[in-house]
Amino acid sequence: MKDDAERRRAAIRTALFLLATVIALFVAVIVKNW
Amino acid sequence: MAAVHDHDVAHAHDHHPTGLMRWLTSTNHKDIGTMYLWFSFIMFLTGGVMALTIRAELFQPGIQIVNPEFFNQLTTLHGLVMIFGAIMPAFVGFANWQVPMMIGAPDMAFARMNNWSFWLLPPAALLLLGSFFAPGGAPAGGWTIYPPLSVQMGMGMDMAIFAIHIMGASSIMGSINIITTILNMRAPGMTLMKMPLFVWTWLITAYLLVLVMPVLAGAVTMLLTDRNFGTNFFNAAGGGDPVMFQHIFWFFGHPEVYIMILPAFGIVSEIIPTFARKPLFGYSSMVYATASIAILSCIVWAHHMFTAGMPVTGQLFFMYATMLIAVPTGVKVFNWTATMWRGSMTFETPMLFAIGFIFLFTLGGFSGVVCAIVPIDIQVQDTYYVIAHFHYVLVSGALFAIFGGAYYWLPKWTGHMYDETLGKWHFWLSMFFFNLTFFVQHFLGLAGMPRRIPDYALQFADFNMISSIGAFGFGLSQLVFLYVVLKCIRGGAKATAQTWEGAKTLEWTLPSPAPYHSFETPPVIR
Repeated sequence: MKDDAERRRAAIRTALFLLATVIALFVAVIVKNW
Repeated sequence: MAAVHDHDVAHAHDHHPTGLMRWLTSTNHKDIGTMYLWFSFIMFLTGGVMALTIRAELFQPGIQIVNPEFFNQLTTLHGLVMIFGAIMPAFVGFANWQVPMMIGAPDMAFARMNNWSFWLLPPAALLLLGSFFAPGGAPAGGWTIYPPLSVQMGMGMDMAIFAIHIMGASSIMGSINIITTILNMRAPGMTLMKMPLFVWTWLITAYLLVLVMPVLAGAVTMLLTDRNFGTNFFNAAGGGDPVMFQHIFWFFGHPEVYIMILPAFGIVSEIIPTFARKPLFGYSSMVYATASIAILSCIVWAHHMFTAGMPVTGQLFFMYATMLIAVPTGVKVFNWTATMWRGSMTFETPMLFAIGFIFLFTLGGFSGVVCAIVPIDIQVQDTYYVIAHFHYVLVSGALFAIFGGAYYWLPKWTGHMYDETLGKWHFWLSMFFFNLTFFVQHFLGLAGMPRRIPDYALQFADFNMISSIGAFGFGLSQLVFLYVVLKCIRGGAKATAQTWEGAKTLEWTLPSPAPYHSFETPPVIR
């Protein structure tokens, strides 16, 4: 079983990956149509 | 699912601020879920009043009640309010309440961000509704805000664009929170393929949101710069392409349809096994069907724009891809029916709404397949046939599932049983008046009545009159729901922990009402 700190780090990694995806998509849509 | 947990009810730590501060500063998933649900109900009534004004105007041919400009503002805002204000936040409310309890987690992964996700919504709603009072009024080009109309409108459009940005940010934060919670905070032993279907459908929905919300944000940002900063993304006179907006919008817009229906599938997949007293038939095929629908939903967007002009190969691709979605959807309908087959069924209100959902959503699915066929779509494009189709999917689909889910979990949320008799009245009145409103719209559409028009030719008068009577009946029926919910919150028979004998998911191992903090020690799933 994961301990709390490990779980927290994993959660932050997941969230940062998703946030990066969101920003990349937003930028890509605008740049593609520039 | 067998679960063991040493959660001690007597030691539930429910210390929290009281009064307004409890709600403003809450980081508790149950409080935030409650706020989402009430917010969505208020927006449902707001959008409903707009719908009734539209139907009052359409009761007879001619212009009676509102002027055409205001009529167009009403149809536009009705769509935006119902989609972004009512249906989506309602499902996020369900996710907030249920996902942590169903996976045995104490709360959402990012509790403070959860608070912020919700509290972005009221200002966005105020901006959107406030656009009615802006010079030039609210946006009036339809909820799809196509240019060139949306580039030419008054500042109400800027307010709507800003509102869409804020609601999009709220949705993105909410979906990141849900994905992170599900992937990282499941109780020991709860593998992905042991998760309740509602959690699975929300996981997939949240991924869809992460994929398409930034695309919508990009589209409306370009619209905003076209309107205010002299760019020409969608301005044909400046070398831009208005049809490109349609492609980008529908790349968001079609998955959005599934964002509004996949959690409904999840709710129905929880209700039916409970009241059929059998495990869900074909659990893994349900998961794969949900994922297939989500993937296919990203490659069918241009079926919304067959009349905008595209090569025949494009039409064929989007037509066949769209029809392909009927396969995983059929798997789901088959599995729900097979779950009920030879089950010990009882027909409490949640089950009635779930069965009503299966009947009417399937009907809406069939008319969707009709619309997918290019030569037919060219005939029915922008007619009342399309209005009938998507209201069967979104009202008797998404909304009926929301009602079913609300009745199903109200005892867990409030600790009281709701009034079963009134619940059944709510269902049957909704069922009757919904069909009275929208079934006849198929005939209107096939006869050629266009959507978003305040006046119509005389031959459409009878069916419009029937539809308007149905709409007022449906609207008033929802007051029964409000009464049942308020009565349930105020009191009633005490609900037991295991309210429904056939319910198997983790939340039913908690007392009713669920304690303010649950599963501080994770349960162990065998």
